[in-house]
Amino acid sequence: MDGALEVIDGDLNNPKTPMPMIRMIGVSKAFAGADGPVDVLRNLSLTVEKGDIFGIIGRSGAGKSTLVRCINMLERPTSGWVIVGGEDLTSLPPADLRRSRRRIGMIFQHFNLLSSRTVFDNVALPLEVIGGIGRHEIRRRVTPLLDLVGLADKRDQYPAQLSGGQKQRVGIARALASDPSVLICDEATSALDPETTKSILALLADINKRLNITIVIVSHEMQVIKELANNVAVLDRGEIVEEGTVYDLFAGAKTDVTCTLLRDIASRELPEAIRERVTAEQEPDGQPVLRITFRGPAANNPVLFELVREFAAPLNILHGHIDYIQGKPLGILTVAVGGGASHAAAIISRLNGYGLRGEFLGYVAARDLSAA
Amino acid sequence: MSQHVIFQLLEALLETLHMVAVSGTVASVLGIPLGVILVVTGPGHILERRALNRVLGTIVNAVRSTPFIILMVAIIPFTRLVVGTSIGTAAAIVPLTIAATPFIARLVEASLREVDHGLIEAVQAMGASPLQIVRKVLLPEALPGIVAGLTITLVSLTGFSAMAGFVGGGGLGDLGIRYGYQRFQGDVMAAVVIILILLVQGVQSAGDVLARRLNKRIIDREESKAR
Ligand SMILES: Nc1ncnc2c1ncn2[C@@H]1O[C@H](COP(=O)(O)OP(=O)(O)O)[C@@H](O)[C@H]1O
Ligand SMILES: [Mg+2]
Repeated sequence: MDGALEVIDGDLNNPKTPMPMIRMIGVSKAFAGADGPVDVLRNLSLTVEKGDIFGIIGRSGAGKSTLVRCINMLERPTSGWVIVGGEDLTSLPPADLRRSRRRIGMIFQHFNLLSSRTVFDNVALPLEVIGGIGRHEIRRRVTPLLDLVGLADKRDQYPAQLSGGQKQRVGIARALASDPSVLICDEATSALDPETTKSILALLADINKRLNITIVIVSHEMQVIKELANNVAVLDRGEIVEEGTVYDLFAGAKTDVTCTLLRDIASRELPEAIRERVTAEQEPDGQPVLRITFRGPAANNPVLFELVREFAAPLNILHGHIDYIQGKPLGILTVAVGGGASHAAAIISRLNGYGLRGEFLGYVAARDLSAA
Repeated sequence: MSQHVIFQLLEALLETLHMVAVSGTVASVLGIPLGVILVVTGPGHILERRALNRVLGTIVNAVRSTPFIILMVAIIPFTRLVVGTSIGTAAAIVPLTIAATPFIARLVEASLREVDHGLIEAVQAMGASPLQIVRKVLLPEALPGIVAGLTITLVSLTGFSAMAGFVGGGGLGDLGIRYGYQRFQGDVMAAVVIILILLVQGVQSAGDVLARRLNKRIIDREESKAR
């Protein structure tokens, strides 16, 4: 316990490392279950730097929502510390906690807008909660927020008259009204279609850049994290199993959980004609399909040539493209491997040896290949 | 119908309106906060107080399960304490209020429970105090439901007020019984019934319109066409 607090002091006293925006130290959370307490977060620690966009990804039920709800104490940790902007929220009395919460905006999957209030009045709500702000001042602060999210013309409408994307824009404007330094987004795009998701993510990126707000974004979709976040933590059963930059995660995921989450993206980027042919079961003439991710110096080696030579395996290139993550290129090649599944496994381990990532996607029938 | 009877009908109507309006207003003033307290002190809510919640719940149930006519007699000493008499319109208002208060409280409670918990969390995340949550979220969001509940209460009070004759409270119901039942003047009874029907219809329609206008969750077709 003392150890953890020393770390905090150490950071405060060290002028070289700027104070992180959010720091969770040894956070555990248990809920009362039918047969005793259920551990939802287990001794979890993480650090989010100022101005970062930090992603938290994990399967449904991993504890992501519980984790971010511990950041603003909507959920009180069973043990551990939550330090936001240098202030330990776990030790604050209720009135002080309410004041500190104004520095943390939050948006939700189902928007949580007040149906009885217009767009304008929804956005004004946090200012009313702060209290002592006059009508003019409220208008002066709400109007630019409505412009920022592109809803100036909807200010007098009610949430029931808006589309999902528009509702989330109101949610964002509302979360920004109290001028927070952190914005928490819990599955903020999970109820939206892909197009709307893109525009909301672009808006969040813009807000991060313009207002320098630290964003914590929770999602079960890797696509969302890939598009928006710089750093990411993979949560599984209440523990962080992998953490780092989004680029590193895509270039070299280490755990099965992450690979499973990445697979979803991997198959989505394949052209439809090929994706339709990839099956989980192997047919008699089925060939394993591998997805190879190239990064860094290893990308300069003639890897494919060496694979073909070493395994005497005919590699059939199905698809290739260059993905940009945070502006850095990542080469992605999808190949069908002649010569059976055992071959594929050996190739994957060889790729790992090169420091590249090889992933098994499924099987494709040889006759389909010629058709494609 | 003689002029005398018409005059009596008018007087009875005024007495009924008086009883319903006063008891409805006082019961709302008491019942709405009581309903709020029943909700927010409930398990897992913003001001959880289990003991208080159980005590209030029990009292509310006890009053609600007492037949009105028994309640009216049982609280005569209390009525005398409050209005100084146990006979007359004012004396009838006291038991009507006491019967309507827990009724309103339960209806308000039900409406407040309908409010999505996500909304409460959203304002908690803004740093709202429990009082702000009640004032800015629970009551405004539940308002259409509360209005519907108050409409039901007014209609029920109109019915209950017919028993006010028992303590000399007058009103339409009392008139109907005295003339129609005891003096076999069917036309008076019919007039009373028609007036009561119109009254209840009017209250119900007004309540429905108001509740619908306050409900912003469903936007009327015409309104959305207009935008
Ligand atoms: N208030 C609660 N009471 C009991 N169990 C809860 C509560 N909130 C969450 N849980 C449980 O905690 C686990 C993680 O939930 P959650 O944080 O919502 O996961 P995620 O957001 O990753 O899908 C789930 O098994 C869920 O049932
Ligand atoms: Mg969740």
